[in-house]
Formats: sequence, C-alpha cells, structure tokens
Amino acid sequence: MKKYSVLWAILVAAAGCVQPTMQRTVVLTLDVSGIPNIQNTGVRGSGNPLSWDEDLPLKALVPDSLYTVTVTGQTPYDFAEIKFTVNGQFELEGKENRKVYFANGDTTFYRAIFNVP
Amino acid sequence: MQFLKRLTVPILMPHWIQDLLLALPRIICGLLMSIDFGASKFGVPWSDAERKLGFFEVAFWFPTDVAAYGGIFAIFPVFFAWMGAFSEAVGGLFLALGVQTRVFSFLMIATMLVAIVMQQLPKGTWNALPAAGFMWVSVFTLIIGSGRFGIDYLISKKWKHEKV
Repeated sequence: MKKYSVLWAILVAAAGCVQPTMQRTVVLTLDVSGIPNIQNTGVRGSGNPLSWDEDLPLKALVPDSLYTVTVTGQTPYDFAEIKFTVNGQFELEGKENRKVYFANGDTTFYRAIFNVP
Repeated sequence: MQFLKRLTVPILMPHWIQDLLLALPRIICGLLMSIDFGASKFGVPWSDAERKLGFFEVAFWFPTDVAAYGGIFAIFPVFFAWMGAFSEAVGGLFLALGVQTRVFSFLMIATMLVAIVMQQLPKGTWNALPAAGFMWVSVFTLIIGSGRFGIDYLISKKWKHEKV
C-alpha cells in the first residue's frame, strides 16, 4: 500500500507540470493595394486570440491599401501560423500557412502582401 | 501483492487466434491514442519537437479547455488535464504493450467518458463516436486484461512458474 502512496504522490506532484508560456505581441500589417471592392480584412490563425474559424479584423491605416492589427497572447511557441482574409476569402489557398517568428524583444512587426507568400 | 496479481493476470481465450483478434483493436487504439492524440498535448519523447513540450508537461492550452467543462474540472483543471493527457500519451502506449492493461484501461475509460460527455456530445452524437470507440475497446480490456499478446501475460506466466 505504501508503494501506491508514493506513486500517487509522484502523480499529484507531476500534475503541476504545465508547459510554460510567454506573452507575445505581434503587429501585423497587410498590403492589399490593387485589390478592388475591399469591405473588410482579417487574420486567422492558431492560438488565442486567433482562430481558424473567425476573422480578427484589421483596421485601415490607409483605406484600400494598408491594414493593421496588434495581437497579444500567451504562447510557448517560437512562431504563430496565420493567413489573412479579404472579404472573408482566405489568401494562399492550398498553400502553407504563413509562419510569423517572434522577435527576441517585446514586440514583433510582420508586414505582408495579400496572397504573396 | 495478491491484488496486483489479480489486476495483472489476463483472462485467456480458448484459442490463441481469438486472443490475437482481441489484441488488434487494443494495440491499434493504444498506439493511435499515444502517438497522435496524447503526444500532441503531453510531453513524451515522441512528441513533435515544434510543440516545445517538456518531459511529462501538459500543453498550456489543455487546462483552460478542461476548466471550461465547469464543476470539479474548473476547481482542479491542471490535475484533470494532466491525468487526461497522461492517460492518453503514456496509457495508450502501455495499453498497446499490454502492461498493467486493466489499470490503464480504467484511466482510458475515465478520460474518454469525460471527453464524450463534456466535450463531444454537446456538438452532436457523431462527434462523440471516436472517443466512444476508444472507450468501448478499453471496457473489453478492463475485463480480459492483455490476453496472450501483452507483457502482463509474460509476467503472469513467470509468477505461475515461481509458484510451481
């Protein structure tokens, strides 16, 4: 019985082992110049607050040209996978997701052109 | 010791082919559970390096998911997340190998029951089928143990020889 107590003690102690995370802030800027009838732009991706099901909307820096959003979240990873959307349509269909590697400093700046890997 | 023996010694079928057929779903489900579902949320040597999981660490997002079930899961989310992930990653491998088959079958049933009731069933019966499949296989192995094709059988054979 003593043997089982030790086993359970180990299990309970080990139960405190949760993967550590870091807060990351990424400023995304999207260039959509040349695309007609832009009603909305967004970003989707893995990890809270991003999702593959719903857009996180971007705001216009320069209407019909440059859009931006700042994303802050906890993650243990060195990068985040994302894709941009325009009018609800994904970019880079059938191609790999964009990988945004986090900078060593506080904030990562990532600039992209829609549908250009 | 007597209790451990009773837990370990498998029930054998009349013919080894029957044991083999019963071992197939246990081995396939155990390996799938460990390599795919378990290793993605629990740090084991076969976890994808990109996930950056330390040894026996539970993925950062899993306790949050578990807490969302409410009730006792919201009070001890890390414990339940760790136990669930351990049951899948380590328990799946032990089930496949037939090591302490009944203990890990019990853990697997408990984990799959939570997944079915708290996570999948609210999304529809069809979504609950994969977890239910793993659970039903574990119900059989909880009763019969590893059969002839598992480490438990080799251990019980050794015990039998020692007794003689």
